[in-house]
Amino acid sequence: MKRIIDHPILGKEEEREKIKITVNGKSISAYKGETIAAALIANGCRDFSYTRRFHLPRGFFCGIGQCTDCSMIVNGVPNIRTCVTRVEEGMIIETQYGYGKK
Amino acid sequence: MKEVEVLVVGAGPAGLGAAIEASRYGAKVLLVDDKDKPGGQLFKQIHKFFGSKEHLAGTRGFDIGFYLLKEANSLGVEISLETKVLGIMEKEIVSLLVKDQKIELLKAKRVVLATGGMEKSLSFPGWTLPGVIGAGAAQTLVNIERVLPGERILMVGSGNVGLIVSYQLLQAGAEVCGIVEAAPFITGYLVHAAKVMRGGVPLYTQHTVKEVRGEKSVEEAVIAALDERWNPVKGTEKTLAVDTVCLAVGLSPNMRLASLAGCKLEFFPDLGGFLPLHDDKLESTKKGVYVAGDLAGVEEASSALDEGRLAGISVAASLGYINSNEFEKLKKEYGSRLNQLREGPFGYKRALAKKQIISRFQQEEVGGTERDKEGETNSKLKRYTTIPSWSEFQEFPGYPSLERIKKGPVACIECIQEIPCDPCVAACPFKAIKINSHLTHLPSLREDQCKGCGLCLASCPGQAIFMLDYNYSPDKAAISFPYEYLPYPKPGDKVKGVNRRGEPVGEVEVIKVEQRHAFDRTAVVTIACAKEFIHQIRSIERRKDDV
Repeated sequence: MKRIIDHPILGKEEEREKIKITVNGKSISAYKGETIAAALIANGCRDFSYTRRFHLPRGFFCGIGQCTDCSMIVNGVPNIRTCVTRVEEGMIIETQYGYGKK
Repeated sequence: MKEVEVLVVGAGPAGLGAAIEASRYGAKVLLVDDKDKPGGQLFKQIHKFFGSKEHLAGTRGFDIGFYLLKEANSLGVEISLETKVLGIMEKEIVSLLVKDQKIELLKAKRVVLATGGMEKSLSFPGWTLPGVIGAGAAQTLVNIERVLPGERILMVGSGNVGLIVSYQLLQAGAEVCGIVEAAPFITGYLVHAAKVMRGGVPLYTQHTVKEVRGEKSVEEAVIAALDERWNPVKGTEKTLAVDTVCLAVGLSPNMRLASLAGCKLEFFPDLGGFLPLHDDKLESTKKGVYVAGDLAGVEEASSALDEGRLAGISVAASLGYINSNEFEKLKKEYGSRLNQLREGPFGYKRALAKKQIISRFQQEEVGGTERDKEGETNSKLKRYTTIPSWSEFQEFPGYPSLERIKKGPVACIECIQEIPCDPCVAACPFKAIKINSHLTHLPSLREDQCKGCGLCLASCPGQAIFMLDYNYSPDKAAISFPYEYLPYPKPGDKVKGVNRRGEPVGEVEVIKVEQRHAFDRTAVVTIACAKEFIHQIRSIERRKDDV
């Protein structure tokens, strides 16, 4: 998906510090301070987790940390709500399957 | 153990309002929020708010957020972020979880709960697919994170949230392929619907989303017409190639903490669902626990702010910072400000439900269970399935007469529903726009006093005022309108003029694109067109190339 470079009300995008995060083994760039979900959607990734029994995809849904559909494994810890967790340099993010236990 | 006089939970408009007022009168306030930034949902509201001067009408939501934070800081409100309230216990003790790390106990004499609302959802085959998202979530993505949730969007729900978020998705550069509304009419303000329809968005009333399909995320959505019993009509299915479906199907009070605290809850459908009963001072059935904002009934940000302020004042009074005479005066003042926002055909049900809450609270004190009967009302709301034609607008007091139009530049106010809003009155230096005694009354144009200066155009949060200049040239008329899409047109551009429903009417020439400081980021575009289109053309086709 696209990032919004210019906007009639919000103006041009400010210079933001770029950082690197790893998503399922692939390095992608993100902006410091944005949520993990925003970084992933901007990079075209929408299926964040798969359900335990039927392996159905789930993704960003409520955007305010309530529904937990966007949970992923972040730095080895499962069930991290990516819509309210901000990216950090070198963060390792993985799709969560079921409860996220290996 | 740390002690405060007032703990306010939730740093959105209601919580900020409560913290500001309690602190203004001298109480020591701690404001907590579970997020890492204050403001609740205010900072993603990039549109101009409705209301009156007291509600900062005409100001964009995020600017109101900045003012409130500044005010809270200058009054010494302590704000603790990433702080969740785990429970409100006996003996004024509250337990907090700070940064998901440590639990702290706090003694608070009074608690104001301003935990806000939560979006409702809608289930249909495929609704769990990634790409089906809440409208609020879409708003956060585009206006805070500056990332598009998708490029082709279907909006479900034509209430104000659905209409405003659709408009903001267009502004961000996405394509809104349609808005479906199950009711047989547009449920939000017509002015908001008019904005998106001028932008070329089709609005399907009496339609629903039947199914969403895709492998790993949304690839298409099936919509269908509904019969009068709200069942899908076979054979009316239409498949739209969309990658995102936004659900704007209402909000409900986020009452979980109030419930945990032991506040008595009851169901009020016109205010979103289960919510804590409270008195006219906003105190719940649990002594010392006050409620405000969407938690006390889902409305909008301006009411939440005023209700929060009233809760803050009540708390300060209960702690002895305000004497009873002064308190009664303030209560009356805020009560009438709140009532103003609940007048008119869109608000009266909420006003009645608010009264019911208070009467149920009083009954609860004496052990009664009966609800007030719904009062009678004179408010009649004409419902629209689409934007009316000009002959219908002409019937309203804001539309200039044909004789006046032929005399020279004049404002044309297409505001035909009684909504609580009046910035146009103050914007006119010649006092040519009048709203009678009530904030919800329709603006009327004193056409002889209008000089055609155009200052009202950008002041209208509904973008419902246009400037008509019939005598621009011997064969052309000029029409000016607010315009908030990129890229802006340039003088000399030949573009398509569109009517109120976004349909192309004819080629027009852009004469002027004005951006003044006073317009607050709304551009005013003037085009020249054939005189016969003066009642038809209300905008120009949005350029859909890359922003």
